[in-house]
Amino acid sequence: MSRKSESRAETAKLARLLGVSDPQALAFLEKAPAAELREYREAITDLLYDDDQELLQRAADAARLLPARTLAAIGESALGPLICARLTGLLEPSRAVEISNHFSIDFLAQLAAELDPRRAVAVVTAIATDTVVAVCAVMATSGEHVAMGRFVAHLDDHTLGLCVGALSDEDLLRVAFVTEGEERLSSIFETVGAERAARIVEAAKRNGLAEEAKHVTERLAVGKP
Amino acid sequence: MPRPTDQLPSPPPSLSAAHGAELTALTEQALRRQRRALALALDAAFDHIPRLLRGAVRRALGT
Repeated sequence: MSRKSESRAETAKLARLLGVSDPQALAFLEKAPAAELREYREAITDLLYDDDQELLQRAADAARLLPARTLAAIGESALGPLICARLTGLLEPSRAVEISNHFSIDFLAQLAAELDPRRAVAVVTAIATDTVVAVCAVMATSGEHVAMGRFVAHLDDHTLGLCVGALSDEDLLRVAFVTEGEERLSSIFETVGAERAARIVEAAKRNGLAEEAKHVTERLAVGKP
Repeated sequence: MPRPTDQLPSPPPSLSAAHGAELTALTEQALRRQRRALALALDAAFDHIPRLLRGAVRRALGT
């Protein structure tokens, strides 16, 4: 498996986390081992999530005083996706889902792009399947492939299959490139099937995504018994 | 209690000092951006809270 491609995937994830719009600005990271970059990214994720934790927890507690519809309006018009994402894991999961039902799909997609799903697993897994698929499509349109890759591990096979069906070949490859865990990557391509997988690889060569296709193919081969 | 900016993680050891410093600076920027967003967001949120509940929410927030 190409170490350079692994580092490139990690660099894309770090760029997304740090709000660097052009990952090329971080091209110097691609020379570092992926394991080092992953360790740094995980430390930064903790840093960002744990910062102002007390104030965020008080905000989450104060949210009990207001109806879900009002909270959704406040979230969408005042708090914004980043703060809503930080609050998601601090709310009661059922309450977070109730609020999310009042968000627009566009806002949910922005929120999901800022969310670390590991910190809100109960919420992510309780969102209605059709909402997840709709959010997935909007995130793909917005180029949020790195963020989408974080969710793959937390979707059940049925929802994952519907999302895979909703994505273009190119979007699917971009998500697969940054998806963590060989097992989940295999799940994606079991859903895709051999015919579409071959088409994705062929199209990748034409669309300047040959490195991504090679990396994904090699990871899939490693994951095979 | 020290805030996490005082505890920024060390950059990946294989990076040069200059690149490590560049990455640390970007991390600090991201942290500052998030803090600014939180401060602005909480201020803006009060405009959307019914007046009768603002006192209770302020007390809950401790602001």
